[in-house]
Amino acid sequence: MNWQLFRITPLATCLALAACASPPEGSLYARLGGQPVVSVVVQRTIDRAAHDPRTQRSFDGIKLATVEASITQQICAISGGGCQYEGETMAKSHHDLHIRPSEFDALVDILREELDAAQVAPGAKNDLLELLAPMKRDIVTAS
Amino acid sequence: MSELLRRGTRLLALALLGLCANAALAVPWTVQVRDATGHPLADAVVAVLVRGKPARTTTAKAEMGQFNRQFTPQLLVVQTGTEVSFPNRDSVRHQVYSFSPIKVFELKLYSGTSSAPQVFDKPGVAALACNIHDRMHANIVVVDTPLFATTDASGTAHLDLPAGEHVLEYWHEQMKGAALQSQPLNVGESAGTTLLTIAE
Repeated sequence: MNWQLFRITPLATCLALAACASPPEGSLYARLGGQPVVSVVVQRTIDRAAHDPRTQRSFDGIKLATVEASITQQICAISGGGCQYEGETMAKSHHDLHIRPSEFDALVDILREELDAAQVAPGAKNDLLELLAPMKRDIVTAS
Repeated sequence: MSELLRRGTRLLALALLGLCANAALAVPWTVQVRDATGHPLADAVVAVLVRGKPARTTTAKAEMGQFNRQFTPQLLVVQTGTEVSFPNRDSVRHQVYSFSPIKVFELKLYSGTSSAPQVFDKPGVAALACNIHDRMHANIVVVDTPLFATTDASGTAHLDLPAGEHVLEYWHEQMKGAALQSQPLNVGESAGTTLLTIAE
């Protein structure tokens, strides 16, 4: 048996699909629950953020479904789910919105709550938040 | 003396011939558009189909840009066959699409770029939107003639037309549907006005 081929095939399969039904075993994406869980968590987070007085400002005029799909793809990509992120960079997409630290932090709070509500394991939750934290630098441009 | 007279007559004849050539498009025509309540209607598209004039163009180009999360312009009128480019002059990405039967397309437009231009080869109206920004809307109105105009704030459009029996086509966003309406238009030797009422 070709051991190397065995390891590469699932990844190749995932790369071929936009959203993986069965993500690479052991990946953070898999530990989060894969596409079914991540897409629902993102959808609930963004829907809440778009109506929460602390964060709604920057979602004004935005088609939520498009943003939700893009973020889900982004999380899949950074958590080893095998997706290719096709969206805009965090710097470019937030530059003209002048996001404040309080707005960023409020969104992370909402995300945390939805990860809990989806019963994502604390370890996986924390690993994801650690991966997302460096994005604050590019997203927050106001004080 | 007779030589002078002869030359003078010839000059006059040539001058008259020159005037006649320009008379092909010499009749100033005004279209006054109003809505059902009688108020002047701005941004109404009017176009005149002239028998014998080519319906399509193979050379015309136009632009539907994006800036400040909006299309620029929001109403673009082009002759059938025009190549339209979509330069994204915004700081953010746009995903421009149309589901209108005359032209279905979707373009991922990165900030500061323009993708391959789209040829609008069927007459009618294409409604454009952006898959990312909810409030972005524009219309591209495609007409089978190079003779078209859009009414200003006073509901007025001006065209220079040849004399003859033509077809006047018109459209406004208020009208339901993506088809231009039409009616006959007779242009005589002297300037005239057409009064149009566009009801919903």
